[in-house]
Amino acid sequence: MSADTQNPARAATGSVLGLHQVGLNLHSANSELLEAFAFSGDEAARWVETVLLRDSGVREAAVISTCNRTEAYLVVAESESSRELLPLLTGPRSDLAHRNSGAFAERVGLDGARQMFRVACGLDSIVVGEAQILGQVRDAYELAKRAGGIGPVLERLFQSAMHAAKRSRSETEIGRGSVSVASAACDLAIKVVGDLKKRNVLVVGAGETGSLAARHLKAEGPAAMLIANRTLEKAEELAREVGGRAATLDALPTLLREVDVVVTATSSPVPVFTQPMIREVLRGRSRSLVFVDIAIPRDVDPKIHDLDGAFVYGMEALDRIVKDNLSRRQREIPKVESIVEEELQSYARWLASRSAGSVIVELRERFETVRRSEVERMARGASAAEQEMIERLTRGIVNKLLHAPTSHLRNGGASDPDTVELVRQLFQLNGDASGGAAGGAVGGTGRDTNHSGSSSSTSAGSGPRAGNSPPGGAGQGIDARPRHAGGSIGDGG
Amino acid sequence: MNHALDILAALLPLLYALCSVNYAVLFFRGSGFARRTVTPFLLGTALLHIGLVVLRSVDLSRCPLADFTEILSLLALAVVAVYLVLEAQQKNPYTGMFILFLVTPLAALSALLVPRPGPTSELLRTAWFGFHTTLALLGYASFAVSAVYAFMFLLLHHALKQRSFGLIFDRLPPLDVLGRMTFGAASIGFVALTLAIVVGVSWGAKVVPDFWRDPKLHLTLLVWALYGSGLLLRIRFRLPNRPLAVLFLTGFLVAVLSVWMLQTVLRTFHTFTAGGGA
Repeated sequence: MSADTQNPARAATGSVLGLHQVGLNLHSANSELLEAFAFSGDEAARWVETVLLRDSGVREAAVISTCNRTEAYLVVAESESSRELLPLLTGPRSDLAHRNSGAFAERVGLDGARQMFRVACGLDSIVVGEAQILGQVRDAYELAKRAGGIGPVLERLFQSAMHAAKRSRSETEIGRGSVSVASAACDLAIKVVGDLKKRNVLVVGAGETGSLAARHLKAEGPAAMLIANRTLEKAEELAREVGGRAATLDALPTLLREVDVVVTATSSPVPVFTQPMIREVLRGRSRSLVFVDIAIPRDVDPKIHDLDGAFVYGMEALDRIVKDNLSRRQREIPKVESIVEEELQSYARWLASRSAGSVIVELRERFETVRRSEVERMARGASAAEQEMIERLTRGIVNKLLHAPTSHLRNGGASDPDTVELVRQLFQLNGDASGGAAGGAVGGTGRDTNHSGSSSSTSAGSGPRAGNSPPGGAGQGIDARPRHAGGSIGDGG
Repeated sequence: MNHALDILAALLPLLYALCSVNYAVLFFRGSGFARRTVTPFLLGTALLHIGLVVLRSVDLSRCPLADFTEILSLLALAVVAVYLVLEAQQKNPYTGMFILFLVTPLAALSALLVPRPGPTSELLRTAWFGFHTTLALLGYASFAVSAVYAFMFLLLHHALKQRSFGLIFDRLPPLDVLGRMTFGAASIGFVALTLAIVVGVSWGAKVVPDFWRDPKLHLTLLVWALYGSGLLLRIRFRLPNRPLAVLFLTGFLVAVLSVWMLQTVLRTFHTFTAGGGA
């Protein structure tokens, strides 16, 4: 028995596993190329349907397409294991893909599975640990499932990847802390006054920065939102957009008594909030008052921070929080990598157990076929009693002969690629039994291939079509139509 | 059974110490294992503690409140019980380290101090006594929790004023939440202590001669007045969180000091063993 028996991850790695990952991402491609091969939700579903319909070798298919990646996950039959699958993804844009072949990578077996795990855990994102990607992986899974692309292998792969992502977020600090100035401002306010849903927020200044801040704060769902601006019209316009109340700067002393958080971004050359003004506001007040000053020059007199119950934070503080959080996430990467490897091992064990079942089923079917044909040949003309006796006799012999090899396979032999391969060769098993397309676990290691200089000879069983023609038409091939990378698709983008 | 109870009593401080370490690991390292286990471990330890108290009561046929060691043990349990409720409410286990740093020494002192031998007072077998002491314990446990939250409030307040965004900033609940918890725990403690005093005075005056001369009563009234004035200042004059936290922390230190004085210097009628006090 080979050493791989001790390591299911290695044992299950290999071409017969049938899992292929092919695509490009932010690490290998520029934004123009990523945009050219991006899929919208509808396009992704249509791609899955087309690949399954037109390519008999593909058993399962799914695609994860975001701002920063387009990666297809395919499960192919054993006979297709050495086939180049990139053209399946690039379809009518294979010329462009060929010109930029270095941007594409293909991973096979557990290397492909590992890539999905890393993507789901946010290790492959621009902002490490960002939360959006898990939702995007889930969306990709739902789309592929509705399109019929999810079979047992991808089902397990997606579930395991999402489980690893949840573990990484709960067991490590990869997703902790704000990593943008806007979210840092919200976090700071929350750290002082608590949940903003029970607090009133005042945004001072309805210019571009103030509007952005107001929209971000609106997402936190404050109890009330007030907009103050030099001109009432602009304040009213923004207040209508964010569902708040508008006022002019003259009303600030009154407004301050109602609010807990002030985000200020005016273009005033002198401080809008002075220490005497705030001292008066704080008199007889038990709640804290937080100022987030994102104006240049500053709107809030720094001396206000010295008052009991008042807290003032500017861009410098926000920037420091973001940098600290980003470096902490970097420090968490090794812990998340460990979780990825643990979950990958678990996935590999599941694959190995599937392949054991597959070989045993195939072996039994092979013996049963031989037994039946021999019984049919020999029992012609025999009486019913004699037929019954032949049936019992041959069944007993077959069962006894199969007992030892079946036990051996069940007890770990099937996780040894050499053993499985030997059994297949000895008994001429074709690897297509009910154990599934991805059954078997024979030979080789995963490979991670860059498509630099590779040829694109096939096109997914469908003719390439002009890149600019609309998707979804009759007789269309795989649609990798260029798409703007905005909207709902895009990890952190 | 006594032998088994003694072993369990000796184990408890160790278990609380382990819980403290686990909470500290969670606070400083945010470890996944600690995150998953802090609450179940503490809950399990508290259940063991409750089991010990129940078995001890059955074994002695009285409330286990005869001497200082028994009171410390029950105080530790009450603080843990109040904390577990707050942790479940706030869904934030990061404050547990601070609470356990108070509970572990209480449990250790309870196990290490030698109980004073001798017959116990018949008062321990009466229902009024149980009611009075339960209220008093709940009061002091709440003051202890309030003091710990006041301490955390001051730590976070300092970090926010210094614009220091490290562990304290990252782990502790929001400042105003800590302020509310400090105030809430002190309010519960004040109500419980008020009731304990009312029950003790109305019942004790009948059964204990020279009731009004007991220094324990005087010191308890001092603590009660400190907390009462803090609550009044907050409700009536909207005293901000920071001075309120300082006041409640002071109140708790006065309470601890008064217990120490009663045990060492002053003579009190709150004595339920031959030569000790409670």
